Amino acid sequence: MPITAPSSRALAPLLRGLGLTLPLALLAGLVGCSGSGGDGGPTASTGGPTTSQGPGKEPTVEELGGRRDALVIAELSDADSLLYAVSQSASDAALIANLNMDNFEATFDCSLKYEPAFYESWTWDDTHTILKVKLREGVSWSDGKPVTAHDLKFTYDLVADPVVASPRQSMLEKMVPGKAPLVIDDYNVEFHYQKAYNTATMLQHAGLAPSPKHVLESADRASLRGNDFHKNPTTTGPWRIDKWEPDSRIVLVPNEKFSGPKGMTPRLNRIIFKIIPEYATRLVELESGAIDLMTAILPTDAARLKKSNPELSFYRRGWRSSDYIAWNNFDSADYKAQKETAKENLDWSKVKRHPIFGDVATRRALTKAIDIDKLIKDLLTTDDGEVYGRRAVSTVTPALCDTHNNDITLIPLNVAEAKAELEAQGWKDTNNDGVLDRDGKPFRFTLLTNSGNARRNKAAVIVQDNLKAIGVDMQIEQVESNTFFERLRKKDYEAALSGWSASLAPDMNPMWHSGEKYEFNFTGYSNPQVDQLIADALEEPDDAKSNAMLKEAQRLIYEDQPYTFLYWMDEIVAVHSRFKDVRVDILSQYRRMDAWWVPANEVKYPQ
Amino acid sequence: MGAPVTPQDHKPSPLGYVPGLGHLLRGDWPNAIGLSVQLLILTWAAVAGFPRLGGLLFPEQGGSGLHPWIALLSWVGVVGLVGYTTWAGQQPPPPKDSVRSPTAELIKQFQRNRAGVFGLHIVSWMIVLALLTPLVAPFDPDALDVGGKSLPPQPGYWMGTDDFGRDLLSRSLYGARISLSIGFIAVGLSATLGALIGAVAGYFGGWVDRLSMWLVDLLLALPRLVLLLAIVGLFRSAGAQSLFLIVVILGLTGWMGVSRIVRAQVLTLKEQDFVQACRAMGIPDSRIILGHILPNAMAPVIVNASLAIGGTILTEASLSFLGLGVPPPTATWGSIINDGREFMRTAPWITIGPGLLIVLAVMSFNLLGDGLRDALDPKLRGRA
Amino acid sequence: MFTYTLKKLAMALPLLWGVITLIFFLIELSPGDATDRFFTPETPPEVRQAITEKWGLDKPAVTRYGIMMVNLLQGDFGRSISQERPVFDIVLDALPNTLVLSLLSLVVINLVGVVLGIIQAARQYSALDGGLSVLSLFFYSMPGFWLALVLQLVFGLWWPVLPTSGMIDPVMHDFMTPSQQTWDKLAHLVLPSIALGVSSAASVARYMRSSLLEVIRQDYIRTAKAKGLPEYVVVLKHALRNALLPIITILGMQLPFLVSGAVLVESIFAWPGMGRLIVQAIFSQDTPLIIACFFILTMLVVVGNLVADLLYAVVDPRIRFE
Repeated sequence: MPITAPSSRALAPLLRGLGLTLPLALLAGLVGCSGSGGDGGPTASTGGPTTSQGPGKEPTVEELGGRRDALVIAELSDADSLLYAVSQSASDAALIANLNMDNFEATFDCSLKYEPAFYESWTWDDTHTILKVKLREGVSWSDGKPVTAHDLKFTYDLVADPVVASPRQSMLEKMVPGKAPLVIDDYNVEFHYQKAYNTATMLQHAGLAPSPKHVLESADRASLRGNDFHKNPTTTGPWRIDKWEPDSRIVLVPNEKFSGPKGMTPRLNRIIFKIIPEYATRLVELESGAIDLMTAILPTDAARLKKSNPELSFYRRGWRSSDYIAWNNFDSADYKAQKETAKENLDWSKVKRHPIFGDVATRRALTKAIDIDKLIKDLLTTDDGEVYGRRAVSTVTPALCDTHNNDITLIPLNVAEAKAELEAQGWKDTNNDGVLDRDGKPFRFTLLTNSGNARRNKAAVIVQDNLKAIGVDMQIEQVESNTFFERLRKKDYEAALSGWSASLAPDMNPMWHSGEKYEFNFTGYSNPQVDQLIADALEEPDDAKSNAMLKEAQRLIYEDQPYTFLYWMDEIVAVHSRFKDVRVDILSQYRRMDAWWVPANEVKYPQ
Repeated sequence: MGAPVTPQDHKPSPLGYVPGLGHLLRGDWPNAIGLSVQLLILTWAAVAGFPRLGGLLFPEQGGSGLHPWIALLSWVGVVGLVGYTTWAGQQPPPPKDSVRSPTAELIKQFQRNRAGVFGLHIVSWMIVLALLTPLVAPFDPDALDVGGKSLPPQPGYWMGTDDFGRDLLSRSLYGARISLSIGFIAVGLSATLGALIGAVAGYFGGWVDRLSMWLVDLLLALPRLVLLLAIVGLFRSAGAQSLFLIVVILGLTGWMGVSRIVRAQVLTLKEQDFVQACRAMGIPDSRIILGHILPNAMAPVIVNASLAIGGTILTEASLSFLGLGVPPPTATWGSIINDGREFMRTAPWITIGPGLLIVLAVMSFNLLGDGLRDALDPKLRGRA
Repeated sequence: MFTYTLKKLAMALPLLWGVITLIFFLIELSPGDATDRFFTPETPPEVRQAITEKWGLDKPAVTRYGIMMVNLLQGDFGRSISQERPVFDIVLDALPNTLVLSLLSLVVINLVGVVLGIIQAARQYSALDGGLSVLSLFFYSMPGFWLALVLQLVFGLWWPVLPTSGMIDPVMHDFMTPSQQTWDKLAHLVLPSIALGVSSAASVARYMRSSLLEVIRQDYIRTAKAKGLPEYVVVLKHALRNALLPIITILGMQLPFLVSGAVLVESIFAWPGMGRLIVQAIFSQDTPLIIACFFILTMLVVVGNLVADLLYAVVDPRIRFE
């Protein structure tokens, strides 16, 4: 499962496949926020549905004459944890979001926008460091107890408690301890921040949806993940869990006690998550009609599916994830040795450079030799020519259209130049074995990538072929996802083919700021100018100014090519077209399922 | 076959001089097909391996695709085969009651089992093809886009191409090298290990025996694939997924059956007079085991090994399927199937072709093993 | 017989101990541990420390081994680190599903195998015998996961008559009558059990054929034939009983073999059983869960062999247990 929408510390490596829960865990997700939008609304691809009437305009249950039909969703793996404070995977987050009412109704249009949901209204003080929130009254838990400020405070306390080991701890690090949040009364709270930061980031950190204090107060915090709560959680949302058969299926039915807005009353009878680990099996099930919604469809299958299964609609999620090749700036052995003694105080300027990739000119030459357009054509283009990829120039998603730098001049594919530049670096094939060498050492390295990701493994093979053409011998080493991430973090690799699931809050610090504190800076990239720009941008409340700084930072980084940025991907999600007002977008693979409905004459499951 | 030719109504037919045809005329179809195809392949190799001739026939390889020694071996093979087939094709069926040497008896016994002979031939074609792969394969197995992506089987691309546009016939041929090597080396390792452990346990008895048989029981109690999964899975980040280590791990987890069989053999052998005599003469135990007991216990080991090769090829394929096999881009049959599983709908040939090759290989090894078992030791029939 | 069963089970104890010890130290020697998944780059050192201590991973391996053995002796398998649930509950969720699948496979395997073997032996060297021999060898030599993929393609799409994944129809099952539900479950069992069992059935057929042929050659059968009894009476009444003995011997070995196959087949057919659980446990280095899985596996082998022994006595009256 991809990790989606991490918050402050921004990005999480996108490690698909295997269907295992990942370690990185990362940080709070906003995926859960309900709302409409995406890359300017749910984007239907050609041939996709046009029936969407727009958010808030879907017929009410009364207009429909009652609930009907069931939606069957194929999932890669079973849900793990249904408590926001400890849940780790994106699919869990999506499920939690449909079971609960969120603090904000998030929309996405070039940037994340927040509208009222459980937070009825909010104001900032003059210093822009205190967020005063008025909570919605009358919202109740599925057991009938009202949701209050104390539940919210309890949730933040849970996350802050080291014993819980919450993956969302970083949501609190910009807040004043003890005032995160401060309870004024049952329906008013204040979030106190240490400084004024970028507004979107601050709001995102206030987005942790409440958990029921009265249920979990006495629970053992050390074993929250294993609490029985997960099997039958007390929730605030329009749906509740009816059945959970481990590793088999989860059945959601409408929550009869739902006390939120009338418009959020479910229009479907049931939602069933069926757990199918194999891609091929999911595909067979989709084609035979046994499932109604499948995520992450390969472009190679999309064209055929459109012809063979006209009843399916195909949605594009927008530029949410990307792949890149990271070139390790450091000699990993020396880094490891120094890190052992220096710990967090390690001075990066003293670490020995990687003999090959420590040099900008070499990295640029390698980029010139890699045929990125071919990668996009081979991996992300359907047989009938529809393209689901675009070249990446930075780690900022193009979906953040005001932040992404569109003016960067791409380094063009030029094998001859690449060869010439490497030769200028002293790389020649002196012994005629087809591999360049310098000082008697061949140009040979190992590209690390994670197993279980067919696309990335394919990309690795194509890159290997590209580099062979300029006399570079690249070996491929596949390791399992957990190990892969661990080795990236410890900078224990030479080059790595990895990916990010983009944050929708534009903070570049975690990946590009130098220093041991930023462990997502996998390549050991260090550029004082970039450090300054991205640190300032985070503390700049004016979006125009901070965007300008971030654009400049992206340009500087691209010049240095610490990564060879490959492509952004548009995930394809297929949904049976009897479902109307479907929300599949950049925020989530499926959202606000309460709004989805089926016309009376198209119902498949009348029960 | 050194059987004396008894005067019978046998007139050598001139057609009998054509390799394989003599067998065919006598109705010995497995040998007829087997020998002629083998001859064909070897001749091809011999011709192509000859630099100038090869250059004419296979310009893309420039006649240099083959090691000179393989070419030389092929020549020897051709001459030998032609000689043998013409001679054997002329021979009358041997009389039923003549006395033969043990080897001849063995060959005769084996030849009786047509399925076994057929298996032997397929196994030898596969080995020959694997040796000659650089020559036979129409394309570089890792070359991308040799004619189009995901092409169905067609002339020029006999097994189709995969989603990278790599030629599947070439990949399967190179895959055969790896898969067969894994099978042979791992089984060689486990047979050696098993025979040694079994012999030592059986010969010395006592606590050595009890301990090693306890270990055997223990390892047999765990399904092999699950044990492998645990070893390779747990140590994958420590580099367990290399060709070398996979072979070693496969070898170390497959010796238990052999050791049981050898132990049983040794228990009976050690009571026999020649062993007692050796002991009385003060010959060291190690020499008795290696020099006298093991050679006499080899028959079931060989049978077991030829059956185990098939099983090992299957196991390796299963590991590859779990993503724990030999790392890419090295092609093995299992990894080709694994690569193709996502394209089961769009390009089933990626999965089906190599799958059938696995079935064929495993079948042949099983046939060969069954044949050997029947020939070597009729008493073993029906046992594992 | 009861004491024999007890004795057999007691003899299995050292085996169980050996398996658990072997697996425990295998996990210990491997790099990393199950708590890696809880750590993010931001996890403060004291949290790491707390988590490590919570799972007792700060203690030396030998100490933890001792604690684990003491707990195991008290029947406590501990909590899964990756799921933070009692291991017992997790295994209990998965085990019945696997047992249903493999026991059904086992029954079908042996029925089909024995019947085919009898047919072949009765018509030795006929075209039918030859054809069945080739066929059974073909299936015997086939990778189960490959067959699973092919079955799915054929019966899921080309000729869509059978469900291709899961244990029940996810939507309609809840609205079915009990008998419909049974049919629904059976329909979902068909493809996985074929994929799982075909190669074993083929091997049973091969054994059955050769075993029956061997028995038929023996004197008492000749005598029976000479008495003028019809062939089917001779075969079914006199020969079959003895010919079944080797089949029963391998019966004990079939269960673990099926579990091996389940590792692959369960994942392809989305079957929530032990096979998938083992893979998940190993990939997450979840020591308590792995140990429990291997414990169950070994128990299956022990029980399988025991059942085979007891069946032996039923078929062969010469054998008496002491």
